[in-house]
Amino acid sequence: MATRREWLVLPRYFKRPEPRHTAFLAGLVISFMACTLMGKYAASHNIFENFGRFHHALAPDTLYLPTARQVRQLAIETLDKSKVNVVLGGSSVFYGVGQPPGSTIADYLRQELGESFRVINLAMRGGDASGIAEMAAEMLLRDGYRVIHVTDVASAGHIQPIGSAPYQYFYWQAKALGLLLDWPRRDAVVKKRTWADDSQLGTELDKFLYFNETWNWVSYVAFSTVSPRSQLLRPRRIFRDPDVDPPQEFRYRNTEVELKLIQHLAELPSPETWEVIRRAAEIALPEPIRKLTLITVCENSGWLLDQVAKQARDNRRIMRERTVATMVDLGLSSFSSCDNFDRDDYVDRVHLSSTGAKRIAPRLAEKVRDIARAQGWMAP
Amino acid sequence: MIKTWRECIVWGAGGVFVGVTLSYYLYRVGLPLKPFIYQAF
Repeated sequence: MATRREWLVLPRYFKRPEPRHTAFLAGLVISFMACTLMGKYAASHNIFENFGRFHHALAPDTLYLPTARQVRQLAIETLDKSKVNVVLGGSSVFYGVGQPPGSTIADYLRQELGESFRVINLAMRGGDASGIAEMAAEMLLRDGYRVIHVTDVASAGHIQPIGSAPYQYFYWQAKALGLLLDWPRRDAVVKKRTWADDSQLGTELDKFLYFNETWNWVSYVAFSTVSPRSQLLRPRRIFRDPDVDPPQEFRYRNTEVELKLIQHLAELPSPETWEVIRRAAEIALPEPIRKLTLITVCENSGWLLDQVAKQARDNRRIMRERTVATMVDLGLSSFSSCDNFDRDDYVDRVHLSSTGAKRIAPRLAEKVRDIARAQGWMAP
Repeated sequence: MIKTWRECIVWGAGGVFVGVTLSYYLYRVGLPLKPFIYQAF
């Protein structure tokens, strides 16, 4: 039988680590900790210089995923607690596809609203009314900012509970960090994921290890191993916002396809579908943010709509009005924002041109001021 | 003695490389434990 002393004897390789093994371990721990500290620094500062919007080099299309902490820092630096802050969100329409930097909806809205407002464009291409901008608005609201969230939704569009893919990672990050408003209805829908889901586990780890912030920062300021347009190793900060004002020959390039699409999208939803649309919006948008949200329906190009059958046009009008009514019923501000727009106000079926951006901005500004007045942030 | 120092520097540099790579791996690839978790449950 072994004596107590023998039980305590460790295997030979535990007895006395060799210096080279200690050096290896020390190198590993120190370098990993250094990465974490870099990330911690990056998470507490705004890294984006001259930010306009999350263009292709700063977006998931090129594998760059701005983190919840980075977006929050960006918003804090751009916005002002003493002013009314407008967070522009939603899809590529409000992002400003077809509008060059300086002539986007956000730019014109900023001009319209004047000095007592601040505007930040956090809309994403393929984004949703419940996406990054909405969650950023929640964070700011928690931080005591006076926030108005401006977004768009398609006619009879379903708002997804935590935004559309590939932006859903943002919810998990913000949730893990406790940055969002408490909204049990939304949590109940997304809770069904297993704890081993990588988006959940990864963000839980990042909460302490900051690896996403570290490498986003390195990618932005120094080098990126996955750079857009095959320009390997070039930092993200040197990429310019590529959107241009498309010349006439590049506008409405697939008219035939788009007309078919409008016809297809003009099918009236059933009463059950309307109920689903309503419930989806209820789940996706927490109650405290609703009264601070302006959600608009920007109808497809009127020039294209005029070319489809009257029945399709009538259906689209019914869908538009019903969507607006549903949103208003849920406590949001809503209106049809692109009525009577001309052919040149669009660059294709859905996206507005610079002239369209200039026309929509005063309409949005008027509604934004209404919300600000209702909140007592502006004199009546 | 000199041999030990040289060895330590080389192994330490290896450790630094692995530490930085691990942080980058978590960022770009995701949680490396995921396949093991799925096997375990």
